[in-house]
Amino acid sequence: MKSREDLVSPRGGHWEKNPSPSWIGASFKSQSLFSMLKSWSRSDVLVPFVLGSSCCAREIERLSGPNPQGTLVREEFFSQPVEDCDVLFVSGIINAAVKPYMLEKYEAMMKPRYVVAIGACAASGAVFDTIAADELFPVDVYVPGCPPTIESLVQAIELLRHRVRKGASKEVMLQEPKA
Amino acid sequence: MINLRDALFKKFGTQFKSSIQDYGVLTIFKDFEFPLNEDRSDDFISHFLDFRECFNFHMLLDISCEKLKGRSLLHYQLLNLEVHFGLRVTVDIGESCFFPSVEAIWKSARALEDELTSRCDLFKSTGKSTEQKKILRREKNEESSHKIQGVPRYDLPLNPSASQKRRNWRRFGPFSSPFNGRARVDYLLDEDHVFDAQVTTGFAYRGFEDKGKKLDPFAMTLFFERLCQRDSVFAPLLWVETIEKKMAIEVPEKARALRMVWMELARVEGHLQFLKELSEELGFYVEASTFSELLEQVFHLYNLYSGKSQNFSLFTFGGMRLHAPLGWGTECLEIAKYIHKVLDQTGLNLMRSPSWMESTRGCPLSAGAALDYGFSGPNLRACGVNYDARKVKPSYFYKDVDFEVPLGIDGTTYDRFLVRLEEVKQSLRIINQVLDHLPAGELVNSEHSLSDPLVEGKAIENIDYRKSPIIEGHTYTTIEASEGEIGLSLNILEGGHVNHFHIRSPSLAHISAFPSMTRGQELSCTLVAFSSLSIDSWEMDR
Repeated sequence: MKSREDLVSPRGGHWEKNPSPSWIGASFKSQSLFSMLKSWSRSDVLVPFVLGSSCCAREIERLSGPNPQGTLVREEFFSQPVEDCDVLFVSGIINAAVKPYMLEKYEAMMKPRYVVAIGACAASGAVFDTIAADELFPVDVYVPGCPPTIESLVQAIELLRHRVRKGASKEVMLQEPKA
Repeated sequence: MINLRDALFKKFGTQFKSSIQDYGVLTIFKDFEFPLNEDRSDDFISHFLDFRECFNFHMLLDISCEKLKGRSLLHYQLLNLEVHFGLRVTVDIGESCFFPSVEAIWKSARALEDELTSRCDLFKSTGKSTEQKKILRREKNEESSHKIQGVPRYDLPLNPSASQKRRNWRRFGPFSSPFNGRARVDYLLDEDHVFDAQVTTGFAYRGFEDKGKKLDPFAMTLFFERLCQRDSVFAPLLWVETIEKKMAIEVPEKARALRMVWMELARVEGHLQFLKELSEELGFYVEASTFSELLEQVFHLYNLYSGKSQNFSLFTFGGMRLHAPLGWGTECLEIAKYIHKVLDQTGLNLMRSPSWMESTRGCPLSAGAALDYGFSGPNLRACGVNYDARKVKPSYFYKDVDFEVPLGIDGTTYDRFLVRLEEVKQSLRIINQVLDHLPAGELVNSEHSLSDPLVEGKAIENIDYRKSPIIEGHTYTTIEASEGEIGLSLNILEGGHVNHFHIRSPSLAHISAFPSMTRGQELSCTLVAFSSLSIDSWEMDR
């Protein structure tokens, strides 16, 4: 049987060498059979909400279009109201003016919610002196690149699905007390 | 044009200089006083009124501020459309933080002056000392709050009608369709009718201009690729062309032709994005997916040439970095033919649809108003103004190729759609003509001091960009991008120090006209009209 860390971490053996942070184990411990079933069913119907209007947003739009990987996210999911979404795609820079509006959208989302920071600007501000996404909300998956390629976006969504299936939400983990 | 130059010279004497045929420089008010008084303010406005009334400068393209030795210089970029003559009027306002507004003369001034207020700490003033004191006091007390601002309050008149009682302000955006992070719009609504609108921008402000001053010319080319959200061809080309013009670098014929192909491909891409967005906004999902399929074809061409679908790192001073791969031209011609065929059919479907016609007929804008607001590109042509920089001052081989400039009639959403649809076809026509007669020869000219180390295979460490001698002086260059004319105002002092770096944004002009377009319209029409203005927030907020 696989160890608990192996199930959560996609990188497998990495966690054995470097002891995992306590929050990974803490979350997985609390999963009942029913919640596991729920996470598994949720992982195939992720409804995204796109924040930001950057060049990366164009790449996100391509996910619903004709691409070599096939249609990954269905087009009708992109036009859902934020209350029905559970994944937040953050792209582009975050400045002081846009910050409260982003938080407003994040607060309105369905729980459990997941955040994907797409591109260098959202991850760290890149060449601009702006705010990084993890200063606003817990980020589950980072996608590198300026702009990221469609392949790396596909990979990121696969990784996110894996995490959802295992019930590993960064937000929940940060809230839970350490074991 | 000779008459206009003579007239300007006659009126202003040696203050007016014009070394290029279609551009002049004028410095007025060298000793502007502090505090600004009413007489000076009236004098200032009467001067600018003369520019509009006597010299026919109907367009105010840009206002920017340059700080030089503790003094503030305001640069006004004016354009005379009849003879196509550009004029930069420089006003030295000294150490003062007040400047008179020209909003009464050009409507485009409002958005530009608001930008000056928020970014350069300069304030509009009529010259009254009490007013100026009040502004300074208000600024001191105002604290920057990072909370969501509430909607404005609607004050009812004394005897309100039933309609007036129903009116209230509502917030739309910034993260809802069709605004998508570009702007927040507050509407004064009575059920479905819009009586007033207020636009808030600045959600993509990232200090592009401040950052750009510190970079070296090569890094700037890559930096400019991140200027626009829609395409990454026009902005880096604008930078490269500016430096080439300053240093008189010649570009080989082959590179010029390939740059033209890239520009037209980017135009096709930009317009297809627009068509896709508009049809998604109106619920025409089948057409939207057709347009996104065509977009993928354009991305395929990009990928074949540069290995990327945006931010190509392709343009360099004196030419292009990469050769076209074998068979790229043929592939390009085939895809152009395919896009033309599909677009003909899809465009016809949309034009025949009564529902499409019905929902796109709102929000007209007259040609006069469009000029007043400083419109450019397809949005201006949709209002019926025959102005395309590719025809008026052709660069590269634009004067040798055969293409037409499509025009709209009354500037409705339908006109903006039709103009773009036709422009895609004209762009494909240009691509066909250029690729059929692609010149042979070198791709890059390396005989200058800014030659690219990557092209020549030199080690990057051996080159000190700081020592590259870029000729000092003030220049203003423009490029006809897919959504309008992007301008770059650049002043380099002795020693290569960039003192002034300002970008003229077409989207800022387009969005400043939005409140006046929406008054008296239905809400759904205005949302579609916002989509049809095709605002690029990255280039607007910079």
